[in-house]
Amino acid sequence: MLLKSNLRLLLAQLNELGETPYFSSELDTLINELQDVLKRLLKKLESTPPAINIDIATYLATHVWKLTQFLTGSTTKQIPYEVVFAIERAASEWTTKKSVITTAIIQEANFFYIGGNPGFFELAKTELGVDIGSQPVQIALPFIYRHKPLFCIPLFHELGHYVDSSNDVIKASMLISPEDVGPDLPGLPTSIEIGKMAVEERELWKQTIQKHRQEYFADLFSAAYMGSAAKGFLQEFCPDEPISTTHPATTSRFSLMDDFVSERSNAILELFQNALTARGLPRLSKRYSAIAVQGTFGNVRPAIPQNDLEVFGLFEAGWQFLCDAWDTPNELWQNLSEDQRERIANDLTEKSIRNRMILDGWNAAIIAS
Amino acid sequence: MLAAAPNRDSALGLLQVVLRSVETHPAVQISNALKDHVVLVLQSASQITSNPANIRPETPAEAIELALHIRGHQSLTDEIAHIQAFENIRSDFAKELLKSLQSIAA
Repeated sequence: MLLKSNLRLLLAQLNELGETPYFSSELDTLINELQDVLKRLLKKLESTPPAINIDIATYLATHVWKLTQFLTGSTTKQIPYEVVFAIERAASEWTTKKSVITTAIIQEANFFYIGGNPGFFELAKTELGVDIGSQPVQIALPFIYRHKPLFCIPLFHELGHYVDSSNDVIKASMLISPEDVGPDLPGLPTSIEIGKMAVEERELWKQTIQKHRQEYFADLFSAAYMGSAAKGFLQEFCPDEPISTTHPATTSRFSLMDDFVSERSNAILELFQNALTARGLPRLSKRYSAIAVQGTFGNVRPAIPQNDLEVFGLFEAGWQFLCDAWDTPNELWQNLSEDQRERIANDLTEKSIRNRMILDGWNAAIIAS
Repeated sequence: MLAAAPNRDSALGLLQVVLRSVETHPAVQISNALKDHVVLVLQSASQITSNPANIRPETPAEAIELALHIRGHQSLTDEIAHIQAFENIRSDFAKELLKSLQSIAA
């Protein structure tokens, strides 16, 4: 009873969401596909006897529910378009499927992502004949940062987790170079020590090492797009966190990001590069171009990024501009209060990304005509 | 909390559902396409457990996670290595593998 009721309730919610204006046509398509999943699933369950395995039906329903949750935060009134634009552009470099970024605005000082489970997409195709063409990624960010792109820099760390998770980069790295092989991670037992441990203890350290590798990977991914701003934001957000079972100490994270940005060789980075290659993905490298904002932002004017690389570069340049304007404001900025400097630097960054979005839309329209 | 929270990163939920169907013999069987997918996952996991250099861009996510999980479980890896078709998956093996995956995902 509850399963079929849930499916009908979810269908009603998706129908309602289908009438909500979305910025992206891909979201409308995803809603249509999920509606299709529910209708076909209900039809199979309504036949006598049911034409689908109940465990499979329950699994599908659970995941449609999760995906519906993805969509509810993405109405036109809440979505931070500019940040989502930048994230979508970065995600497109790492996936063959179109990524549909949705957002959840949360009332806590945290960032995280939730990705769609690959099993759901497989089942929708094999058991219901619905081929979902996009990969939904939900990112959660604090409510107070929704129009503060420079404070959304950690979302690129979260995107790193998504790229890892959807390609199993770190799990592949654990097979290629297990916990008793290394490279050794700061603050954790060495690979030689782990090799001598009993099975149960070793299993615990294996999980910790996997989690630490995941965090390091996400940090490097973020630094690849945000440059020194990836570390700069972390220094403000969590400057001195100690090591835990899930996260390396922040000092260790900063050290690895420094090595990456300064192009110094590092065994942990090399491990990730090998795993990325095994999964057919690009190597981690600097994926942004420097963009000069001193002249434009200095005169309280947005910049005009010429391509996606400069859009990514805006975050590092904007972050540096804000830090400088905060500590030692020049010219026009000397007359502004701290909160005005923060607000205007974020506004200028947001408007600069918007400039690129408008140009992109314009160019696409010209090509289409 | 009403139910145990699954591991959000796990890709093995689908495999667990299919293994349960092998164990319980439900009235409605799963499709042949899904059976083929599960066999592919098991075979890929077996290949990369014996040699991680076999990891390829097209290796299913479930296979990598499963390989990581069964590495070191000799009886499971031996059994999986012999599975060439869905019908080779024995009910008691499905039960054993499910038990070993219990902590992972739903």
